[in-house]
Amino acid sequence: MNQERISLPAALLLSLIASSCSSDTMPKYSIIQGLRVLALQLDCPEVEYDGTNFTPPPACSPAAAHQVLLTPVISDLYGQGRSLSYRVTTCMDPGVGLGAIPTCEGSSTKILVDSNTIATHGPDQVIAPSYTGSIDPIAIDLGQIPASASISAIYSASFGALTPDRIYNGSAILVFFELYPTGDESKKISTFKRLIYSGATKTSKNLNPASLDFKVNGSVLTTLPGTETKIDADVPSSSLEPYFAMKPDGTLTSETEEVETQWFLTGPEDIKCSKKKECTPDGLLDLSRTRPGELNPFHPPEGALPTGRDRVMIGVAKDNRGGVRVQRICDQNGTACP
Amino acid sequence: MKPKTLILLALALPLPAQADYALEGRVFLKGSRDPVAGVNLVLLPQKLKVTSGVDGRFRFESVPGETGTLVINAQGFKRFESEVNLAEENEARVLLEPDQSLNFETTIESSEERDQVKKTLSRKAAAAMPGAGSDPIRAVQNLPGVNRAQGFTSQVIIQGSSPQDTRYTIDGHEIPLIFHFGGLSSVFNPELTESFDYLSAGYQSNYGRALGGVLNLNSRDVDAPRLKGSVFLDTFNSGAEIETPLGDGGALAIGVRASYVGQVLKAAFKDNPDFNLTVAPSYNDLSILYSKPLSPNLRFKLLAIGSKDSLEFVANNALGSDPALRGNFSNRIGFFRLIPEFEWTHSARSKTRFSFGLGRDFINSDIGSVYFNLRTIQGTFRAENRTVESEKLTWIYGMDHRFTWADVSFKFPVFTGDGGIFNPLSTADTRVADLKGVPSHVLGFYLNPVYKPGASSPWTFHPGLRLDWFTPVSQALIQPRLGARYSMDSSLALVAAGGLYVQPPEERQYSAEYGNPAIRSPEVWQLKLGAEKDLSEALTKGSEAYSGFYGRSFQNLILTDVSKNYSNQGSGLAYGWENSFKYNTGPWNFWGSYTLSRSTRTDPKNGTYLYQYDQTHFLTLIAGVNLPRNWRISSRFRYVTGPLDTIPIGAAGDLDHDVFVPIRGSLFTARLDAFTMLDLRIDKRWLYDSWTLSLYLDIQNVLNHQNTEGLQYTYDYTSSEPVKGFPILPTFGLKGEF
Repeated sequence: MNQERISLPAALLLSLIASSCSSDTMPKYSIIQGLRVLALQLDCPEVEYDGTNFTPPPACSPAAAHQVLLTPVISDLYGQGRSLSYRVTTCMDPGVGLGAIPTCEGSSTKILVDSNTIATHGPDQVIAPSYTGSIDPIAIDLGQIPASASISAIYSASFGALTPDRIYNGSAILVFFELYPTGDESKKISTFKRLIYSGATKTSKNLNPASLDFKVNGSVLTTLPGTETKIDADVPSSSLEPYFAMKPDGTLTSETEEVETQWFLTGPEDIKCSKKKECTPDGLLDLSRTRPGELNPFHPPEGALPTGRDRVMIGVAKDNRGGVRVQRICDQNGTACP
Repeated sequence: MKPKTLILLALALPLPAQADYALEGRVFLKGSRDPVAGVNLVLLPQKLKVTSGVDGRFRFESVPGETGTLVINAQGFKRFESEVNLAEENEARVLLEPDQSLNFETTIESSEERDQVKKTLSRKAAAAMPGAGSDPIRAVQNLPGVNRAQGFTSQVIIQGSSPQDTRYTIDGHEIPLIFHFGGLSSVFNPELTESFDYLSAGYQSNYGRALGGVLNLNSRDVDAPRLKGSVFLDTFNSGAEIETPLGDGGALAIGVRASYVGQVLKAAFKDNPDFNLTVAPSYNDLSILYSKPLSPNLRFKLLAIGSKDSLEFVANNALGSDPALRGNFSNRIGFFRLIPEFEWTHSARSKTRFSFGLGRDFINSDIGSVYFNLRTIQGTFRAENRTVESEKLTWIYGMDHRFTWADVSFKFPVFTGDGGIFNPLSTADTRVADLKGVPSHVLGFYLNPVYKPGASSPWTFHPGLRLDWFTPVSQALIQPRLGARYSMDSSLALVAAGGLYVQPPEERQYSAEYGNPAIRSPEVWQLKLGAEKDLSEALTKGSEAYSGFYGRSFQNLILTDVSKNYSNQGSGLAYGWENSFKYNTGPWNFWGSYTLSRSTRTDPKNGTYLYQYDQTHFLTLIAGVNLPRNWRISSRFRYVTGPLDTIPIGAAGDLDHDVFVPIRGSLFTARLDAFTMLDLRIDKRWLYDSWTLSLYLDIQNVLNHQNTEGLQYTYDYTSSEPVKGFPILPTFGLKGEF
């Protein structure tokens, strides 16, 4: 044991203390200001792989037998309705969790799934005046992930080389979603999500949380509160799936999912004005992330609705295995957006 | 020295009428009442001279004349002069006032056995340096070749090496840390510290297992003829030390310290709703020394040290942009050691010193949902024999051994920090382990003779050989070393030293569960060439200058590896030109060091790049002046080339974890602003007959210069703002000694 080993946690704690004093001028992840990708949801976050084919489990009610749907939640709050384009690519996870660069560039398993302009704006109408919400789902044909025999061989060989616990617990395909103003990739936002694939011995694949509701005192919110209150991101306990994980020695352990909700709230145009109260025309949430039962204090805005846009609050409930459920509130001065 | 500041107590006893008189008495040190031995007392105009004995006693016999003037003019003390009426007084008690002038004198071993690269700073000189806050170990940063640790860390980085390449020992036994929380204070009580040794490139074979160097703390010998002690308090902590005779010829010293720096931090964060400091950071330590001669040839010394640091807080909101950094945080680090030591003098030419260390280390860290717990039993053994074979040859050989028995459990993410930028914890794979009784032995044997071709030869050679055996990686490694000294004349010497050095991998690196069992020990070839000049003259005692070059070539450096966890694919170079001087003249003391250096690393992924701790220029200038009435003012100025940083060229949002993962550009290509700082220290001492009161004000960064320690990035790494270092930081201290 040496100084480095012993001081690492201490040094980390010191840096945490220092970061807690960070400047108010640093933009916050939970405040929606510029062009953003807020969430990526796969209708089936985990699929089965038999060494040749990827198959979504019936329990997630896939739209097609060998297909999963990717639903991005985006925002371009101050983009004034400009045209946006996207690109979806997939590749085998190079080991992001172990420090590899998160990119499909240079990967021999890279596949371009889709590249398009956002022509339709989905159920949330990601156009004026909210500019924030889900766009239409993008279909990922699982049969095309190993688009060639060579890629299929790579997946097969890689999977075959895994230890039984890794086969059971799953490996990942990175699904990249890149968003940019049409014709201007210099402002591209690059995001990714993992599509987990595991062996057939794991009979119950992960599903997305069943639902997410914003509640105050048990009542579901449809608009932002007008008074100081505490909001509950309610995920039904039934969504916390029990599952098994395999240890390196082959034994199975019984686990239960943990769910946390990431909160987003629209904010001011000035990205350097993110925390002070006068910079919060949409109100202010104390917490950026909550666990089930943990209430998030909400401070309503003092001024009127900013001209030309709605106020939007989004919650993204995530289990710790890649499952996602999104809830959105759109508010126009106390009334729900049409 | 004005007579009014001296005290001569005399017992007036009736004397028989006679032509000659006698005068006897004792000499004591003013402020502590310790007897002063070996000082010459002169009685004028009779021109009689006697020397005080071990207990400070003196006696003039057959003094002609009824009056005289007793004079003491001894080095290290202020001149004493007092009229004596011998017809009325025949017994005197002299209180001799120590010369308060403080210079930066080093303690140097006899030249035959001296490690050619070792620099030893005495506690007194080091603790009084501005910026040290009265902690001698903190003065290590003033030495040439010691890189400035970036930010709020307290690590000692030696000559372009890595922080984990520095080994910390106390009396030669390894300890896990040298500084408490934030580097405010060292773990060993300064009052029980004799000195510390700084070993850099080319150090000799009696130490090993460190690619960078060694910082060794020397505890002092306790020799308490009476009960004495001290109490101190300063801005961050307070403590006490007491010494007493114990047993036949034995002496015991106990020092304790407790901090209250946490209360300061707690007050600073009390209005922060996101951050609840539940247990204020604190540190405590206990140091015990016991010395006793067991026989004329056998001396026993027991050292005990215990240290504990703790901190807890609750982050209600995620800290920074990483949602994993939320919840309860706690960190507890502690250790203790019991180190009995025996020194057996076989003859005037041979002696053996052997010591055992036994203790425990523990770390408990909870960071949000992850944790790291470590409990170890540590056993160390060190033995060394020195035998003067002839005028030409002195044999020095010995061994050192460390045994570790560890229980470790953790659920911790895989850290990725290439280029000094850490990936968010949330995105990292988490490793879980619960291991019991993991043993580890590191065993070293060394031979380090000193050969001088002849009594008049200008040459002294230190051929050395060291064998280290590391059981965790099953490696036995032979390391040749050589030191040489050529004395051009009585004041100028050329020195050279170098050899091969190895360091065992850390547990996490060779672990079968989460490391790579095939990992090998990294190694480095080191070379040092220099010239030492003694500038001392009558009024400039302790003055000297040094200039020299060092070079290091690293091989088998351990890197993180996506497929194998760790690999030995790193290499590196570090070289530099070091200069230092000490100059004392009259009441003035000057200290300066300047290092010009470069440090690079090479790996297959990134090629060759400047290393994170590359600091081209490092200048330290210290000046102090001893003023009348026991005042002293000193100041330190430092200039260091700015830290290196890696600029992200992009980032990808990991929406499974709501974080962005940085995509790094070329490593360490951005140089931040240079570091400059001016420190000021004011000391005042009041000497009373039997006790002393000292006061100091140590102001770091007196000009409140806003140094940039690093960059803090927005959550998506699209922009950044500088992280500033310490603002003006005054430390006020008060100390009473009796």
